[in-house]
Amino acid sequence: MSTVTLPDLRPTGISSDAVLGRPHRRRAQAVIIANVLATLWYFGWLLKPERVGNPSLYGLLLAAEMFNLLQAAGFWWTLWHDGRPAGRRQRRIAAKVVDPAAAQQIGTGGREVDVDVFVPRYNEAVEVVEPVLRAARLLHGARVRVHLLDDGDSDEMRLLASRLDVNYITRPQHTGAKAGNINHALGVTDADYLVILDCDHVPHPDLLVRTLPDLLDEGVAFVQTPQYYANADRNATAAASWSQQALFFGCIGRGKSGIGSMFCCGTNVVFRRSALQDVGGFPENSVTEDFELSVILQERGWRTAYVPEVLVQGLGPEDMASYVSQQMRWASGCLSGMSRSMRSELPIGLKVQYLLSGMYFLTGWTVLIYLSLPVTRILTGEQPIASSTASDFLMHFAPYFILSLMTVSVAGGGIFSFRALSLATASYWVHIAATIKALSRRPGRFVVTPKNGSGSWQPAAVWPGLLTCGVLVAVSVYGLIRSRDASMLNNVAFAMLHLTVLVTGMTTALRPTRIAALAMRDLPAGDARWQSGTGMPADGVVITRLVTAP
Amino acid sequence: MTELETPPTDRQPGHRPALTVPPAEVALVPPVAAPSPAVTAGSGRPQLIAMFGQFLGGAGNLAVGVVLLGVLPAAGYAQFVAFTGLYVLIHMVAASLSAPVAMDPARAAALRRRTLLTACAVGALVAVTAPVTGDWVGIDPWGLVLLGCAVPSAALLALARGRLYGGGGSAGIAATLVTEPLARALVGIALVPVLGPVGAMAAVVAAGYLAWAVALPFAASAPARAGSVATGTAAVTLSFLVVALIAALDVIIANRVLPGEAAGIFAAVATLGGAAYFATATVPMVLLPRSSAGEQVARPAFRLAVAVAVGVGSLAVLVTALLPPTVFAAVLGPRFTAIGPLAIGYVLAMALLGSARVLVARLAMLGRSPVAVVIAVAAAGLQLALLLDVDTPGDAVRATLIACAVLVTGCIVALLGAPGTVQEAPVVPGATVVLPRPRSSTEMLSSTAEPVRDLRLAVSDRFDWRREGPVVGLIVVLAATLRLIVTRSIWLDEAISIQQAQQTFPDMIEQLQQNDVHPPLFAVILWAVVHLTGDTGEFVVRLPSMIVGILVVAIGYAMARDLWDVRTARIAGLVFAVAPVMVWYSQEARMYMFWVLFALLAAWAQLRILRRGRGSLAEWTTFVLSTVALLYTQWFALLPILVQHLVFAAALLSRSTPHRGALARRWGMSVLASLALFAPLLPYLWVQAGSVLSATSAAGTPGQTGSAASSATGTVPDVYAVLANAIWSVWGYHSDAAMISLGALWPAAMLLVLASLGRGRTRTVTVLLMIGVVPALLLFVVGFQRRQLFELRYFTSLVPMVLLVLARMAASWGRGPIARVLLPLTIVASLVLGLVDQQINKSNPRVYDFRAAAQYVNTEGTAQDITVYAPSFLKDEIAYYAPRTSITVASTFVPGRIPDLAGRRIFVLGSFLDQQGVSAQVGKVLADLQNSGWEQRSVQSFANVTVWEFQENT
Repeated sequence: MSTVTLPDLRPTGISSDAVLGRPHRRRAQAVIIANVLATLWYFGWLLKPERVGNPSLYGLLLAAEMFNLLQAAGFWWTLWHDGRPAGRRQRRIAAKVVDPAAAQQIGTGGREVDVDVFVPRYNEAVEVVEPVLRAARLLHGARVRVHLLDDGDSDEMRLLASRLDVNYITRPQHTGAKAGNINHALGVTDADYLVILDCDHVPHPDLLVRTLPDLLDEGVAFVQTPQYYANADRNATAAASWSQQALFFGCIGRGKSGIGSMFCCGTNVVFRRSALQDVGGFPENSVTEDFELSVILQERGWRTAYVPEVLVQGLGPEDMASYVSQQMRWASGCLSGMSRSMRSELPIGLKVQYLLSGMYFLTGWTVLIYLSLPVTRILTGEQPIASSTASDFLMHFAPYFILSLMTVSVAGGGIFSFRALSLATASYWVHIAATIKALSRRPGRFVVTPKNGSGSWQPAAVWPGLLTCGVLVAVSVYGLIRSRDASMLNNVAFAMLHLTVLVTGMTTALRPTRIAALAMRDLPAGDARWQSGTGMPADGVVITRLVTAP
Repeated sequence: MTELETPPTDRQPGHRPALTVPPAEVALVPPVAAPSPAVTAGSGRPQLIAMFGQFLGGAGNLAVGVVLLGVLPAAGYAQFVAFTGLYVLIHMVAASLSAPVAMDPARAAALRRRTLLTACAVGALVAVTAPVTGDWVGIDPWGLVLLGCAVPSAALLALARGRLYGGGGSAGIAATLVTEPLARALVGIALVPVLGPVGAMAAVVAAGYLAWAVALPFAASAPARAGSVATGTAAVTLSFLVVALIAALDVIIANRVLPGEAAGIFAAVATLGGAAYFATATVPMVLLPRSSAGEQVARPAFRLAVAVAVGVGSLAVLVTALLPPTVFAAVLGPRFTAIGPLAIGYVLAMALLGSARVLVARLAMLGRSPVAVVIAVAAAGLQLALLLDVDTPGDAVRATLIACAVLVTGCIVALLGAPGTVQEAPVVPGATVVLPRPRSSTEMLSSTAEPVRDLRLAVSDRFDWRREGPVVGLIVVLAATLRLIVTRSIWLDEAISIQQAQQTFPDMIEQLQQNDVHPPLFAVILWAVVHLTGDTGEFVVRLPSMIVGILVVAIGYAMARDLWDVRTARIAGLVFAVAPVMVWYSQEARMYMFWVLFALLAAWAQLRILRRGRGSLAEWTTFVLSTVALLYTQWFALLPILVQHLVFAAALLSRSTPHRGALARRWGMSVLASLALFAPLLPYLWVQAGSVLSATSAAGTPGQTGSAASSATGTVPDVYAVLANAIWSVWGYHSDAAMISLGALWPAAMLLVLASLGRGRTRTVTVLLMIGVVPALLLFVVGFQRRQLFELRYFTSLVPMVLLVLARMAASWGRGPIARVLLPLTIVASLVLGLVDQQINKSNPRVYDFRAAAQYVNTEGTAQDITVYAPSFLKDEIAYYAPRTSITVASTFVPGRIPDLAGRRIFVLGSFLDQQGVSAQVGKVLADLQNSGWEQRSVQSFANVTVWEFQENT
């Protein structure tokens, strides 16, 4: 077989390693093995009958710990496939791309393929949309037609489309939100492949060159690429939010790709038209139409692919209200989608992967349980575990705790930060609210994640978190008035641990304007996307290390 | 474009020119307006009005206090007094903010939000911790909650008064001062009958807010004036803050150190002196604004202020001297009849302090506040050192008097050396706008270093004496002061070292080889010191450790600066200066600080070598000499040295290490050189090996632990042993009760682990952590066989590595503007708390007060008396303090053999009584004495030492 030369990875490959964390397969697997052993050591101790203190509390603790164990097991399984050497499918694709020139002419018989680029828009401003359309026109590797799908019926957008020479598509009835918008456009376009870009996500010219090879495999329905928040270097909420995303689009995404269970994330994705037509387009009755579409496609036997390279740069939520709104939408959608996953006729492995992804949005319940334990202990003296000294507990728990975090740290290449963890913890109530919403079958509403921060001082956006902090402080003060023995101090210390994590997570919503301005003082300004000032990608942009905003 | 010149415009004071760049990126030198007439005029009248207000306010508060004395029950009144003391303390601290605002009222607006936020945070902290601190300070928790509520008012009032001083609003000042007692009386009338002492406290707090409310309209109508910008707010504030600290420190320390009665007397004396201090409180504040009016106004105003302060102070001293004892008895109670001489001394001290504030104000006007800070910190340090060793109220008065005298002298010297004119704000025809170099986002993203937020603190290779010198000087002065405040007597091991150092050199080496378990380097140094000075006093024998301890602080600064940046270096310097373990071993005539010094140098050399890939000759020489010196100092140094060589081996295996061939060659040569330099010690080690092995196989001399909380008594080390050693390493040695409480706070360690998520793992930090943690882990494992070896004493040299990592965390983990300040502040504050508790808490199980016990025996006993001591290993300790009685060890003591001599006494000195064998031995001696007709006259307890006094029945 002749030597296979894939297109040059620069600049997006190096940038991707910098911001997604490079896979360290052997190191991660060594830590996973140690983590599994430590988990057995801890659960072997925890599950002994004599450990049962207050049965109800023990039950709650056990439920939370078992849930985490389940998530951890899924995480280990996924990570085990991170950084796998190229499989047969990759080799087959590579064999077809025999030289760099082929990357410019993907398709059968050296014919350049047609690609429709969809940029759905609802209420975003011209300055947000324009760089996306401009960059989309510069995509190479195919014959590209760019379509602005305007659900806002804006004359400004019509003019913009005309000015930039892109196709303007609108529809008489705006049903089905983004999914409806795309489905409508599917009916009026005809290219074999289509790219979906949210209207604040600017693509790199190499997007198609790096993704279309995966579609040479006729069984692949779509190729997903990471959803990168370029404003992570100048906005603290976006930075923390990106850190969460990076774990998913880094080691988890790569692992899912290895398993074949990567799902569509709604943007930065290249579809095969025939696959979409096969399942009747995007489902319009879901707020996370992308997640559900993936399940349906895989049920029909289509496969999915993932290219772990930052080929599109977007903007993350810039304040807590935006973040909460985004998380609420994701949580509601994914939790609602869980029943669809359970009912699906997917192979068991894929089904479990989808369920694990959906179940992540139940994590808030475990946070609630952990928060309630010291509070209950201080108020009532009841505790979940009996027949143990603190030293005994620590001897079993500490290795499990430390190795679990080490797994995240090593597998994620240090991308997942304390700020991200705190932000997730402080938003625990979003998961609870979303669960209640999903259980009560209240219809979801598609809300566009706000793109520009409305200001940093937003205590109302985090009121449940503030209430929790108030309870923790009040209970701690009450406890210290009652007693200051070692046991009480220990529980108050636990409450303070939770308090610190929660407050750190809510910091950006609680910063007075002046402090927020001070925090922004030395940060870069201007358009974040592709660090170019105009938001347009330039040649030779190599991110060697991401410095996230404070 | 990096610099813009805007043309002169008709800008008004405080108006900024419209700029095309974001305001946050602009460093704007504000234009200066003409000083207001209020401050250009003479300051005689404002001084008089303000002082009058101060007098009325003071008298009013006193009257309210007297009324409450009659109304409240005794216990309630005592609580109220304690509350008022803390309230005044808070106001004294906050009042230091008035100074910079008085100099430049425009600063009030800039400071308000920050100050208020800080005050609210402090207030909330006081309120939230009320349940814990309430008992400790003897105040109802609700009182402390009220105190917390008072903190913001103190800050607001200080800022408002600052503006009034700055705007020449003396009438407003007087009004706020008079409002306080009036409001206390009016609100108190309503609340005290309902709420008792808490009502009185609420009245005090409400009065503070009302005084602020009164100040507001006066401040609003005060003429706007831009003042001097030559002196930094922080320096001015800090100088006045430290002076206020000197006024308050003695009461706090004396209350803890002196016995009850003596503390009461000193409190009474301090109350009188406080009146003298407060009498001149307004004088420097009225003076400060004159700095903006030019030297022709400032100089006479300063002279007048000095005259007023000295005059009022002299008057106070004179009045106190002339008061008959009956007045003291009538005002303070019959117990205080004889406090006259003490009161004169203390009022004199406060009069000096009042004058010193004027001098500090003058230094601020001259832009020399940093100098004032250094002088005041030195005076406060001296005062603290003296106060910690007081036995009587007279000692405490003397301590404060000396500190105040030093402060005044220092300020006078500084003024004589200062340029003779006030630092006037530069008058600029047009504001100069200086833009910082813009940082492109690409540059930001491609940075491989930690983000440096404060460009001024970016590291440069050359040490900038002008910029960094004062800070380093301050840190070194602080370190020296803390190390000079020794609060414990010579410990057993020190006594052994001193005994060895007094022998001839060959005898000492022989004894070390035969009976000791340590290499000879420290013994040789101590031998030289003792033989050169001919002295074995506590200070002399501890001097080498102290000097090295101070040196280690400077090296810590330099190392952090070299490895990271100036910000980290400053924090590292502070952390090293106040780290309890660093202070503890700097005050011990043993080898530990030398061990720390050499370990630090070895680590630094290695990190520099690894940074450049192969290292220079100087770096390798330092590495070799330091590691060899380590082995000449402490055998346990072998572990960290092994780890350091493993790090070299790992670096050689890593493909990312540059110049691996050169590194391998030089490393090999360094090993050979180290072995060659170590070779002369082999015969010594050969002879000593037997002692070393027997010492490590069984607990010999007690390890200073004696603590249940450390689990040192267990057969194997457990998690709590790890926690205890970790706490000792960073926060020092504490009482068993404190250790149990601190150990319960282990969830904080979970927070640390969580917070480490996503932090950069540089090679520097990784290597430091390896050198700092791996040897301790090895000893933890060894501890399962030899439990006593898992103890901080055997890995003391790792502490500086941990402290460096801690400093780096403090400097770099906080990314937001608040966290960047709060994190280092919290860490340093926690270390200071640990240090204070370690140094003055007599329940510390590692503190053995043999000095006090020996002094007691010397005071009570005569040459014909006998001291019987147990256990026998106190021999060198007893020999060091050499009581003038004859001495015998308990194991050979038989009461029947004592020759009969009328009035002869026996002192039984026992320590380590928690050890069963020792307590049995002491018990037998006591029983034998009683059975032989000796009568026990008294029992005196000192820290971990007890002395029983017997006299023969006649």
